[in-house]
Amino acid sequence: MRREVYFPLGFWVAPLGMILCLAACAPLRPAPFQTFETAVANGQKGLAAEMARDVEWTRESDVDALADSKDAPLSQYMLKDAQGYAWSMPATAPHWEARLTLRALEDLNAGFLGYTQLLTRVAQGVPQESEDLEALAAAINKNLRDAGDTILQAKNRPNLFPAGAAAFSSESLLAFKRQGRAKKLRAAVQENQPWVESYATQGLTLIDIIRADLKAAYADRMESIHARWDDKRAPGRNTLARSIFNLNAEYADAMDSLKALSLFYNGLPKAHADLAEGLARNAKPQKALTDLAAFADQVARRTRELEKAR
Amino acid sequence: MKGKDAKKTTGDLTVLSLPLLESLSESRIAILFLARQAKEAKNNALAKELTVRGQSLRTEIARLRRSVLNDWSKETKRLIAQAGWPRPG
Repeated sequence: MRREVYFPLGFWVAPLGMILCLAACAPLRPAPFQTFETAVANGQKGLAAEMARDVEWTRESDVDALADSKDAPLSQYMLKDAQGYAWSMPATAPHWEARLTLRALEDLNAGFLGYTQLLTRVAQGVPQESEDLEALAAAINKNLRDAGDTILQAKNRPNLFPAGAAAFSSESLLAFKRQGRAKKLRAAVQENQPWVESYATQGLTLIDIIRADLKAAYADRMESIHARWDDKRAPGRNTLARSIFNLNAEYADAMDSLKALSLFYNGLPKAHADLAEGLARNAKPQKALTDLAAFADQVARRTRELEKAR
Repeated sequence: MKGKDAKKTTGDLTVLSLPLLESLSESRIAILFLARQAKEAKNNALAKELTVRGQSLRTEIARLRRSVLNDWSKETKRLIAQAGWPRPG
């Protein structure tokens, strides 16, 4: 005997809803986020290394300029006040400005790297206590505040941070943790896109500044070598000749490295946008992200060579 | 991101001054090269004249460089202020 079995409406609706949800919600793939994080770390390290080279070259040309003038006002380059940990000097030498810029860059980079780490962790879906996220948030915030302090020190101004200043939307990332949907993570990444574009532009501007700085320092240092070469009393022509060749080789390496960095920072915003695209249903291959990783590898290779040469 | 796009977030001063700074630095290298060639051709008067011109360029480069770095710092500060997280209070 056949029995007619009637299923309640909810029996169909619930699985259908699950299937629809699975179709609508793209899976979270942490790999692209890890690629992005690694690429950013390599790119940042490369830019910091070139900025450090800028500090070193500018310092050398400051040394030459000061040494060339017997009547130089040395009082301008000594401590005027030294009380506790505080100190001041009448003049700020160009290499000191470059040094402060390097510090600001390091702090800003740490903040941005923290953001990429947070994205990776969220995409990995590793169960985390909210305290962990809060600690990471506090670390990011501290780096950014440190960067602000360094800049303010450079400009000798009072602290201008508005108490309520915040637009770097990690709050939406926390919302994602609560709701666990790719759509939310995608929205959070998209919300931060303008900030990432500004960050990349700052990187590109700094690359242009370093390039101009190195050219100025090259002329200063070469002029100083020429002056010593022409001075019949100055010994050590071999040393001077070696200095000329070393300077040219370093200049060539620096231009190669800055070119690679320029490709990296140009590609950064698009790669970040790719992260969001990758979370969409029917996601296309993330070409910009692949390109960014390749540029970052080039940068990393040059950074290693620079480190080896030192 | 360079050129037109860079204007979106980089200060106007940097957009205008940075290419000039680089151009002056390149000119200084070219002048130094010519001064050296003049010296090697035993034209000491020309070498001296070119060296003086190079020195005056150096002063202008130092001035521009300072304004460009200040502008970069100002822009970075703005960026950092936007990025403060978590929202205080």
